[in-house]
Amino acid sequence: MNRIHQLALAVLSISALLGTTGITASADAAQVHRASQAPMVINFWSSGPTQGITTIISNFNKAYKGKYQINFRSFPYTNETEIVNSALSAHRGPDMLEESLTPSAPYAYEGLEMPIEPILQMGKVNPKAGFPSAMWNGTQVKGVHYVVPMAGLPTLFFWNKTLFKQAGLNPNQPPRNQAEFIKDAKALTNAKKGQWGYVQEPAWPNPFLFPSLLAQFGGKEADPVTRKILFNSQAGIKALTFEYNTIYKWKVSPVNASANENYNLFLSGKNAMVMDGAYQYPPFLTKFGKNLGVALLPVIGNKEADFLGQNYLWVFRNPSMTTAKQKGIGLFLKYYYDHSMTLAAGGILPVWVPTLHSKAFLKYPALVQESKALYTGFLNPLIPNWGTTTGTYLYQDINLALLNKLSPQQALTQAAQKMQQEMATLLH
Amino acid sequence: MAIQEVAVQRSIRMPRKRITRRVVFDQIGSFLFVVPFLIAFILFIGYPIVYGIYISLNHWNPIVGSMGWAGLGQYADLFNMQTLAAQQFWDGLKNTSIFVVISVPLLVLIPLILAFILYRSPLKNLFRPIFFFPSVLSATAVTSVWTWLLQTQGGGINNLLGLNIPWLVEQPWAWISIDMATIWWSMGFNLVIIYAGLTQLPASTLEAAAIDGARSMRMFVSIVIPQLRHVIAFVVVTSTIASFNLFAQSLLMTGGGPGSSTESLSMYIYNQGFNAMHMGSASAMSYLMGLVLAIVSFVQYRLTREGNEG
Repeated sequence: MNRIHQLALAVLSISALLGTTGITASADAAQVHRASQAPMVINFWSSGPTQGITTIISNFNKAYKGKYQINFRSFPYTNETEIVNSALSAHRGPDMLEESLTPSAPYAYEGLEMPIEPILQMGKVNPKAGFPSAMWNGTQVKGVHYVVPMAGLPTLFFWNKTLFKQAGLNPNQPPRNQAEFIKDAKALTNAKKGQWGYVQEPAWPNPFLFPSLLAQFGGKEADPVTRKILFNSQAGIKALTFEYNTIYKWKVSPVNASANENYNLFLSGKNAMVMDGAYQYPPFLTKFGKNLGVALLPVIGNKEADFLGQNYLWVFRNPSMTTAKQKGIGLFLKYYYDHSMTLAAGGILPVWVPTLHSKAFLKYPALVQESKALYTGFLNPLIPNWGTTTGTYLYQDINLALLNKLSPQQALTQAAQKMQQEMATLLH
Repeated sequence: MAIQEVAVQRSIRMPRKRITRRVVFDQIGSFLFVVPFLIAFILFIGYPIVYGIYISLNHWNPIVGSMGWAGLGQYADLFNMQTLAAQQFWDGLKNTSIFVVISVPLLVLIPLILAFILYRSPLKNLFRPIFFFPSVLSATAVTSVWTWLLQTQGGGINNLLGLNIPWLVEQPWAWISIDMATIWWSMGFNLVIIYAGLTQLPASTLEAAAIDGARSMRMFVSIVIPQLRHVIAFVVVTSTIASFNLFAQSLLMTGGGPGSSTESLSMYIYNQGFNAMHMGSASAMSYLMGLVLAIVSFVQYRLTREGNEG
């Protein structure tokens, strides 16, 4: 190959490389042209339960054909923060996001979220009348509401009615307090046969269970205003000691349960009782049908209290967010709540009061039970990065306590010290 | 006549101006061939490295960008054990080092032995792809299967052995589990490299040793290992770098537990950057980790080179 050819080849390769940019640019231009004739696209991402929601979205898209188009993307709960943050950093984030409550706080502090009340007004959604107060109050950042509840995920008590019958217990009478829980758990346990009354995992579902038990003993996780850590109180120690005792004192739970064994052993009939989030209801119902018992948590402490899980939606203040798009979001939210019975059909608890009070909702007795938590439950303190910070410090030390490496008091004291230090680095 | 001599004679005959033009033309032509790589290098390696240093010198939020100049403060914090960042960084480095110390010798030794057995086996064409197969699987698939097998109560391995070993929730079992999964997953790659090295050994050496009555073990120790020293050195360095980047196995199999004992440095950096949104601090950690890794690789390289020279 002579030099002219070599040079021509080199120039051609570079042109080809640079040419792709031109192709992309013309493709973008074509897209813009098409977009001017297409419905307004609203990108909706969610790490929440998908049962029912895809049907609602599909019906909304049909009802508003030519005007609005909701593009739905579901992604796993385990790494939602990273996915969303990466997308936002690249200016490719969604318009609406459904996630836990506390991840919304950093975005609100950074000014990346739209106040939600004007959007709700555009869709004629009245939040004060429409949502149970426990799901609406306490969700403001600096006095502004940025989030709106999408589904209820309270902490629930599940039991296997068949195993209750086999142990000589009343299958329709779940334990109502700590004494009954221990008595039933002992009756249901046969350690030699690998049959357990209850499985206390050292890791999950503590982010649901520990706050519930803490509140039942009269404690709080933290003060969202002063950012003071409070879970290392006597109430916290009692809550964690209860969990510890199920393994080491009453021996109704196996030692060293692996992640998901609480769930896996329940499904395989080797675990009779579960205390976990409502997200377990659909798979448990599919497996056990009428033999599944569902109730609010027994009163392990001094009073009824239930961590509500946190399934919220917020709207990002991104460059493409126009008034017209906000109106579309408002209309979608109205449509979503008005059709939230579709969620109930999928085993997900709606949070729209008119739905909860409707006759049709009575067809779902387990959800009716579940819905009681919406009036007595509580949320995590709205502190930025609360979920990830507790995951790193509190739940790692609880893990060590439940593996018998630290006492409950040591674990909570150690975790509180680290978390208090971390609080100083979070957004204000 | 040698090509160079012809070229020299031709150039002697050419006028000076024409020679200069040809040299410039040559150089531009060669440079243009490098340009595509250069663009990719600047875009995907050079620029991120420089920008990463800039981020590490700022209080950086991944979404809103710089939140103020930090200078070397975030690097200094990593040496101040009163800070959570330093505690996490050195904990993560300690955990990662434990993993490297356990996994690298096994990731070299097991494939080395297996490659030698395969090399001498008539079934090599059957077993070579079988051993390589796990390498093509995703980390998620591999860890899901191992997590299921290693459950304490209902896991396949405990049921098979009739034991109650807390594989994923207690130490040292958690490290053993992560190592088992890692070795199963990635040894196929090392095996293929070592096997390729074996095929390059002169068959006559092994044949001569066999005629002299050397057994397999003697041949392996006295011939194969010394002859494969360069290949083994390559496998050691690449396995060390790969092991330092431990991430998915810890995240998906043990969640970093028990406590934080299997939380690797990469996990800490990831959490610091994307969960806690302290990207500046995460970048500082990454550069310090890179420096540690460079020192380790350099020491390994020097040791191998000295061994070769000796």
